[in-house]
Amino acid sequence: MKNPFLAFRSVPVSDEGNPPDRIMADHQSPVQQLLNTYRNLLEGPAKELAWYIDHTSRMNYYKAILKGMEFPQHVKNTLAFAEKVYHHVFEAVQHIPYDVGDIEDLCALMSFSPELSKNELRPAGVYISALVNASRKEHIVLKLPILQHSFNFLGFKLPTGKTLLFEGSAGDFTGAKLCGGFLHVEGPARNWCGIAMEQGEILITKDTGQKTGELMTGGKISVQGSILGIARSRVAGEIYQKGKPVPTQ
Amino acid sequence: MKSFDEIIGTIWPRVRKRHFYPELPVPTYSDSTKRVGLEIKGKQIDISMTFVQEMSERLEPEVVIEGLLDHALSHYRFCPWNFTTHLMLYREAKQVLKDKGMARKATDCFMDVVADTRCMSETDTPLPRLYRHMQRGNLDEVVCSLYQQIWRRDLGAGGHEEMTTRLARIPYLDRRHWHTSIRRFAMVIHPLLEEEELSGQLQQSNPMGSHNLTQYSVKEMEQGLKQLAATINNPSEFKEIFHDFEKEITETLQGQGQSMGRGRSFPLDADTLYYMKRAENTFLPVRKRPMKKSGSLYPHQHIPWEIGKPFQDIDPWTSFGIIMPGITQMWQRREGDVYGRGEGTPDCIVIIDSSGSMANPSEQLSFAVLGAACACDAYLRNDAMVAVYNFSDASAGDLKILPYSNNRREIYGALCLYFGGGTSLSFEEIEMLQKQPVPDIFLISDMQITNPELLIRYFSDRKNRITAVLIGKNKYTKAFRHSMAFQPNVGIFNVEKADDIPGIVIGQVREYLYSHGLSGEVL
Repeated sequence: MKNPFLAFRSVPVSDEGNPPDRIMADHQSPVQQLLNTYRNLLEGPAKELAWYIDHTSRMNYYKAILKGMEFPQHVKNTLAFAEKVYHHVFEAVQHIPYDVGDIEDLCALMSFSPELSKNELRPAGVYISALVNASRKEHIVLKLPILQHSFNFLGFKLPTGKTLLFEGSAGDFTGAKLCGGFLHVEGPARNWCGIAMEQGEILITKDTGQKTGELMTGGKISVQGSILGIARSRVAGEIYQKGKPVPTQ
Repeated sequence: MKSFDEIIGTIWPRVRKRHFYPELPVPTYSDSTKRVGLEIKGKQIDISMTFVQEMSERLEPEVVIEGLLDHALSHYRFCPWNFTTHLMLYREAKQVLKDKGMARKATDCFMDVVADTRCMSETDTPLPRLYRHMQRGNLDEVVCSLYQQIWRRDLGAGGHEEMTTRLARIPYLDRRHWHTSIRRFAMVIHPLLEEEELSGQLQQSNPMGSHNLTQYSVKEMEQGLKQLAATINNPSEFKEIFHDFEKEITETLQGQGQSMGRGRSFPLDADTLYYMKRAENTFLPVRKRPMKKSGSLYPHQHIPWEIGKPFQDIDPWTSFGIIMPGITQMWQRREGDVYGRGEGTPDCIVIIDSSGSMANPSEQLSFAVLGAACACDAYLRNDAMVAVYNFSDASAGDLKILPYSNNRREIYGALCLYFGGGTSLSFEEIEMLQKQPVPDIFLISDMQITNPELLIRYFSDRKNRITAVLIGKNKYTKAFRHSMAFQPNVGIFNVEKADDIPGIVIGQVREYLYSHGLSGEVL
């Protein structure tokens, strides 16, 4: 008797496997690992950082005072928490075999995924910066022009010899604590750009927000668009707007 | 050269077998002058002979047709597979690109990549040969480069390495990630779409054919719109998507079986459609009216005939023609139990408040309109009719009265009307809608009414089953609830969020009514 299900046998595949499946499996694994690491981070040190970023980025003096702190102290605490998270991530991602494409995929996935809320994405920039700094590549390009959320702390502690080209809108604290690297943002950046940067260069091709260059101790910020507000507590360093130096206020 | 029918006769069974015998009619052909390879309309695949002839200079016609059929069946079988997925993909692309034309093009390209890659990974298809010899625009070149990279076949495409590398990282075959994948796809090809828009090529279809929504059946479309309405909480977003596809949706929903004849068409209103489809996702129960004696007798069972009992009830068939007490059988009759008119569900007057204190249904999800729409849907499903009294300041003319009707579009249209003025009820008009048998009343309002005492008195005097749905909690709703606490024919529900709506039970007051000795009366 003829088997009526003969036509429904499994389809033959070559020994090498399906190219699309293989590509998917190759890159899904590190991205998924990176995403899981970030989720774990949110359960731990990044949780408090999210709170600090929220209130500092809104310049919410009132809430900072309620917590019994002067506002600059609140900003310093935000940076201290960011540094703590950064070191934690730097250790955690050492064993994950990711490449630059994975970082870009992760950014897109985090921004577009409905699973991560806006609040959960606040510390994501520190995580991305740690991934960029821990990568062996010296010149890194992230092309993310139409993201749903912009990332804070992009280029955080970018070391000497590294270049990060970011195409898209950067969030608050762009280039914070820059340590000699070159951060090039093809687009605008929000408030606190170049906060506490020590050395290196930041190039923003569009506008920046309030408190640009706050607590800056060295390095150079070049803004090709307009600057909404210059920091009052700048110690050293240079800020240029459309090629012209901006004096300290 | 073989004729089209001969080629199809050989190829179609083979392609169908490869795609697990989809239930599609035999493809037809047309002499379309468009550059596209095929068109699908109402499940009918239509192959362009112009395209086949152009391609036959470089490939055998059999290969071209087989490739086109593989492409079409892969769309049917995997991506988009149905209208709902198509709209979901478009919605995601639109959120990134913010432009109708670009979003449509990006969606079309994404669906092509998914369908073709799926086909390539599962079957031995001539698609790579077809793509190798196809005329390509700028975007088509990038898509071919992408195919070249992920299929590992030489398609003669080149350039845009950076973009292709980014595109190749997207997990096309993973259906769970399509939400994010299409966004990433749209983000990467955005510069090319802008270029096409500037050069006026954006409106041109893909060489394999564009994905027109008329390919879906009416049922699929209705189901898809229902699911879309359920996932979107903002009517303006639904309206935006609807307007982007208005022509095709209207053509499919209204064009069925109306190819000849006369008659005015009804323009589809996006707000009406949104609330109509959204209401279909929520089933409100309607308590039916109780059974009552019909008053007529019907033959129930046989009993032996005795002297003195009526001759007319004798059943000659079971009595064998014998008239003898104890042997002759007669019918015993009983009075029947029947439902009231309309299988126990009376008609309903829906009184909806559309004053300024209520949400505008066009701009945000209006719980009042959604609640009223669900109530109307419940009555209409039970074959009852609905009259609508939509009011704001009724004395100033802000009033819409729809007489009893079972036309959904008219009813939902009347519900969606928004006046946004003051709030005053006019009872003369409501009284005009009263009739026998007594209809139910469904009131939905936030109770910020200028003449609430008249409303309370009116409800107290009437015998209708009244379901009052109060939007939000404020002192007015509290006062109304207080005043109606001892009124047996009024059931009150509070709605503060969309999830409260399914908790409404229309006509629940019956329990109180019948415990108060009104059992058996027609309400």
